[in-house]
Amino acid sequence: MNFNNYIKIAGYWFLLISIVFFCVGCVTQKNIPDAKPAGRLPGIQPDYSGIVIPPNIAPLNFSIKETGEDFVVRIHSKNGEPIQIENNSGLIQIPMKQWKRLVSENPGEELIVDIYLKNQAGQWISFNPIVNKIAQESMDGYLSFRRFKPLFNLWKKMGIFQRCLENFDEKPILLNRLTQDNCMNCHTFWQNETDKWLLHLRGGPGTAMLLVTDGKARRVNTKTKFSGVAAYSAWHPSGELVAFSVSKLLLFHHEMGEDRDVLDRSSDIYVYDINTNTITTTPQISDPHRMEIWPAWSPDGTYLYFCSAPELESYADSSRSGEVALNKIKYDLMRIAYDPLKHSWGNLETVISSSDIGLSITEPRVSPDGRFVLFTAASNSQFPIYIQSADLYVLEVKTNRWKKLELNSDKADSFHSWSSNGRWIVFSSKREDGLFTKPYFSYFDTSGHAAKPFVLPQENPLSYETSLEIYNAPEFTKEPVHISPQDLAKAAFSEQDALNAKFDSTSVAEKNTNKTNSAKQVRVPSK
Amino acid sequence: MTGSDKNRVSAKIDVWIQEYLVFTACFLYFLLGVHPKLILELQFPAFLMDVNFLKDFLQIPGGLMDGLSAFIMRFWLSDFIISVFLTLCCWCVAFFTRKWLEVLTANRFFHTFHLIPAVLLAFLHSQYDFNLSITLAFIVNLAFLNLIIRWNPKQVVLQIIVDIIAIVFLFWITGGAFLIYGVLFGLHELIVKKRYINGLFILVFSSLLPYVASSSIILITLKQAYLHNLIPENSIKFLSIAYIIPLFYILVYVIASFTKIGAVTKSFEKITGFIRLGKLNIRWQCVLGTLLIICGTILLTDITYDNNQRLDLELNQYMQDGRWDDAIHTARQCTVASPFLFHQINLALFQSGTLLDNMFSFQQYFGSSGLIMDFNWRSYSPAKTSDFYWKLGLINESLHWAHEALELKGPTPEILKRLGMAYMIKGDHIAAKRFFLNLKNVPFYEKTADDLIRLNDSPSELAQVRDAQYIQSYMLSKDYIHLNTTSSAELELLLNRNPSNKMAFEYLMAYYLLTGNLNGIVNYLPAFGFFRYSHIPRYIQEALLIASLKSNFDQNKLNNLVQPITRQYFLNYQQILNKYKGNIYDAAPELQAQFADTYWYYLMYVRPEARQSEMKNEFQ
Repeated sequence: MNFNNYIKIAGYWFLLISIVFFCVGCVTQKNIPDAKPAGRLPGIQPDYSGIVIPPNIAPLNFSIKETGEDFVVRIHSKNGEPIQIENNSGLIQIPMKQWKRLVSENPGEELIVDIYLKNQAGQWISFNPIVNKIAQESMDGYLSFRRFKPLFNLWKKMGIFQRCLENFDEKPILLNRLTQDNCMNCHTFWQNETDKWLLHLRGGPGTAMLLVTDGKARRVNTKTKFSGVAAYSAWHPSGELVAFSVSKLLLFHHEMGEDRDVLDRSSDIYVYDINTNTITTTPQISDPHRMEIWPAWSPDGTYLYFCSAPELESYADSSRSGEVALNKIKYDLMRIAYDPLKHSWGNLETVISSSDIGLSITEPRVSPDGRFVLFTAASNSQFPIYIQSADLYVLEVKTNRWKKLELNSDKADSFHSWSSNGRWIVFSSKREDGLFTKPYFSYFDTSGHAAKPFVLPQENPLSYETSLEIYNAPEFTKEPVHISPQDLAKAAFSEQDALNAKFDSTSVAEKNTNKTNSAKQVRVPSK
Repeated sequence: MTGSDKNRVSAKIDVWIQEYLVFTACFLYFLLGVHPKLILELQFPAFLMDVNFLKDFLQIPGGLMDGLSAFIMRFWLSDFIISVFLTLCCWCVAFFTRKWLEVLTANRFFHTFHLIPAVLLAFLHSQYDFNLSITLAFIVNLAFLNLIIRWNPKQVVLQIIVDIIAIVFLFWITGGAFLIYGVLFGLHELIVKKRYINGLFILVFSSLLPYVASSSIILITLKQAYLHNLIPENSIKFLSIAYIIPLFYILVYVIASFTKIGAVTKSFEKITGFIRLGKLNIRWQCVLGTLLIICGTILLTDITYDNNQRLDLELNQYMQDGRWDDAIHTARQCTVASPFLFHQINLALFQSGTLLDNMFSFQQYFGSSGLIMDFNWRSYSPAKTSDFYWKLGLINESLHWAHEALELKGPTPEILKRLGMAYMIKGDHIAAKRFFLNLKNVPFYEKTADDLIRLNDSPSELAQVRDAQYIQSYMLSKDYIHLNTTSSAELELLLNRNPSNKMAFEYLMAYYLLTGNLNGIVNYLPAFGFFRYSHIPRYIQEALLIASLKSNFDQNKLNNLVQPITRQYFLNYQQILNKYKGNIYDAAPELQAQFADTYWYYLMYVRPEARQSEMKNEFQ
C-alpha cells in the first residue's frame, strides 16, 4: 500500500467518525441537573403563552427575551416524543416534522413549554412552564391578507398574499407591480372557498371589481348611473349575489395622537347578481338620508347585516358653520330581511343602536353557524383601523345580547374573519406598537368566549421586529387561491371578458340621486 | 523579439497611454465638472443589511444588480470616491469592449474605437438620473460575453446546455440587460463562428425568455422583463444615448458580417484606410483618436449639460446640509422656477433670518404655493416636506410625509431616523424602536442607531437632545385637522396654540404678504414686539404703507413702524406711477429697473391677483 492509500483510508475514517459524532450530538439531550427556579414565566417574543392553538398550526417559533449564555427548551404534551432545542442564541425554531407530530397527536391536551437558561455565573435557571392548549378543531389552512407599508396618501408597492397556516409558505395572489402600481383591496371569498372570490382594484384603467369564478377572472365595472366603484363586499351564501358598499371616503390627518382618519361622506349598499350582471338596491340600504356601509350576509342568506349612520349633514357642528362634529359620527348595526327565492327585501331592523352601545359599530361578520355576529366598535368613525379605541365585540343573535371580547388590547383591534368551522377568528391588531397591524388568531368557543390571541407564526420570529410592512384585512380560506397572479393581472386590463354591470333602475325609484352631491359641501373641522 | 512583436508591444503601450489619458480626463470631468455626489439628490440608494429587505431584490430578474448598486451607493461618501468608481466602471466597459473586438477581428489591433461606449456611458452618468444598476448589469454581461466567446465548449449538446445556463443565470442577475449578452453572443455564433443552429437557438431563446418568464413564473410585467437594467425604464434625458450603447455592439457585428463580402471588404478597407489617414503610424493615430474622443465628449457635454438641473441639485444639497447662505446664492442662479424651488428659497431665507426682509428679492411667481407647497409638490419631495413640517413643529404632519417618503424612496437612513425620532418624541417607543433597528442595518449607521435605541429606552434623557427640545417646544397641545391643503388658518392656529413659534409667525406674515392680506399683517403687528425684532422687517413696512392708504388706518402708528427711508422709497414709486398717469403698463419698465424687489412691485406686477381684496388704486 502506498502513502496515498494510507491518506485515503485515514480520510474515510475521519469522515466516518465525524458523522457518528454529529449524529450522537444530535440525539443527545442536555440534562439540566440543578436548575434554580426563577418563579416566573420566561419572557418570550411573540407572546405564545396561555393560548389555545389549532392542531394544524405551523411551529410557534419564538425568541427568548432573557439574558443567558445557553438555552434549553423542552416542548412536550401527554402523547408523543418531546421536542428539545438547545442553543446559545435563544432563537427557538422548532423542527417542522417533530412539531406536527406532537401537536397532531395531542388534540384537546396541554402543550407545555419548559425553558431553561444558563446565566453568566454558569447557573441553570428554570422558568415556570408555559402552558398552552391544543384545540380539537383545526383552523382553515390558509390566510389571505394585503401587505404593504403603513398607507397614508401615496403608495408604491402593495400586494395581496396567501400564507399556508400549516407551514411558512407564502405566495402572492396579486402584486400591484403587475397592475400598473394601482391600489388593491377587499379580497372577499365565498364561504372561505377559493373558486369564487373577488377583489377590488383602484386607480388607473384597471379600476374595477375583479371577480373570480370557476378559476376564471373577469373585470366587472360596477360604476353605473346610480352605483359607483365597489368597496366593502360580502358574498351571499348562494354564491350568486355580492352585496357591496359604494362610499365617498376622505382621508385626513390629525395633528395630535393617531395621524390618519377617514371620513365617510356618503355610502350606500348595492347588490350585484353575477348571473344576470345586474346591480340592484332598495332605498332601505341606500337611503339618501343615511350612510350605509359594511354589508354582511347571515349564513342562511335571509338577512343582510350592515352599518348605518345618519347622513353627514346631520352631524353639522352648530358652533362652526359647515363643519362636522367628527366624534359624533357613530354607526348603528342594522339588518334587513331578504328572500333569496323571490329576491325581495323585507323589514329593516336596528340590531344595536350606537346610542345604546355608545360607540360606532362597523365590520359585522356573522359566524358560520349564524349564532354570533362579531363586530368592531370604536369611539366614532366607520374606519376603525385608524381609531385606537377600536375593539372587537360579539352579539349573540338569539338573545340580542352583546359583549366586548376579552382578547382586546388598548390599541386598534379590528377587521376580523371567521374560520369555516366557526371555532377560530383572525383579526388585525395594532397591539404591539399602535402602528403596524398584524394578524392575530383566537379560539372562539361555543359559548362565545374568545381565548387569548396569538400572532401569525413566522419561520424567523425576529422578522416582526424590523418588518416595515403591515398585514391588512386577513381572511381565512380553506385552500390556496389557484388562479395565477399573471392571469389576474391579465384580466384586470382585458377588455375581452370585461363586464359593465347594468343597473336595475326599478329598484331605486325612490332613491335621491343627488345625495352624493350634497355631501360634497360638508367640510371636516379645521379648528 | 521580432520586429512585428516589438511593434505590437509598442502599440499596446500606446493604447494603454491613450486609455490612461482618456480615463484621467473622464475622472477629472466627474470630479470637477459633474460633482457626482449630486446623483444622490436624485437617486435614493436605500439599502439594509436585513434578510427580508435583501429577499425583495432576489424576487425579480435584475434585482441583484439593483441591490448591488444600492449597496455600492451607500459608500458614495464623496465626489472623489464616486468619480473613481464611475471611471472604473467606464474603464471596465472599454476593457471588455477591446477584448471582445480582439476576438471578433482575430486579434486585430484596436484603439479609440473601443472607448466609444465607455465615453457614452460617462456622458449618461453625468446627467445624474442614470441608474448605476444599468452600468453594472452592462459590465457583467460584457464580461460574460468575453468569457463565453473564448471558452465555449466544442460539443454541441454541451454548448447548448452551457448557453441555456448562462442565459438564464444572466437574466436572473442582470434582468433585461442579459439581452446584450444573448444577442451579441447569438450574432457571434452566427457571423463569426458560423455555428448557425447554436446562434439561432441563442437568439430565439434570449428573445423568448423574458416573455415566458413574465407570463409563467416571475411576477413582473412584460415591459419590465425586457427592459429592466437594459435601458432606463423611467424617462430620462438623452434616453437615445442609452439605446445607442447596445446598438453600437450590434452595429459592429453588422459591419463585421458585411466585411466578409468581397466587394464590401474592399470599399471598407478604403474607408478604414482613409480614416487611418494612411501613412500615420499607430502612435499618431492614438494621439488623434484621444484628441477626437476627448474633444467630442467635451462638445457633447457642453451642448447637452443641464446646468440648471445641477443648480437645483446643489441647492437641495445645501438645504440638506443647512448651508442657507450658499442655498440662497445658488437659488439666485437658477433659471427654471417651480413652487418647490421657491419653497426652498423661502425656507433658506427664514433659516438665515431674512425672510421678511429679502423674500421679494426673488420674484415670488407662485405666491403662497411657493411658501407652503400644494399636495402635488409635497409628493414630489416628501422627505423635504417632512423636514419642513418638523421645523414648523407639526410632528404628525412631519410623520405623515416621512411615511410617504418611506413608501416612495425606500428606507433611507434620513427617513428611518426621522420616523424613529418622531415616534419617540410622541411617546410611541415601540414603534420608534422598529425604525431604529432598521437604521442599525444601514451601513455606517450602526452607532447612530445604537445611541438612538439607548435614548429610546430611557425617555427621561430625551429632553437633553437638541432636536427633541426644539420639536417639543413647538408641538401642539390640542388637535387640529390637516387636509393636505394650504391656508393661513393652519399657521394662525399653530401660532395660537404656541405663540412662541417664530417660524409659524414669520410664515404667517409671509403668507399674508403673498396673498395680499394686509389686515392680517396689521392685526399681528404687536407680535413683532413679542419676538423682539429690532425693527419692523422691510416688507412688513412696505405692506403697512399700502395699508395706511385706507382711510381708517392710524397714521401715528405708521410713523413709529415705518422707517423714513422706506417712506421715501414709496414716494418715489408713486411718483413714477404718477409720471405715467397711473398707467401701470407704461410704468412697468422703469419700476422694474428700480423697484423689482419691492412688495409694491409684487402686488402690482408679479401676482396682481393678490390685490383683489384691497383697494384698486392704492398707489396713486
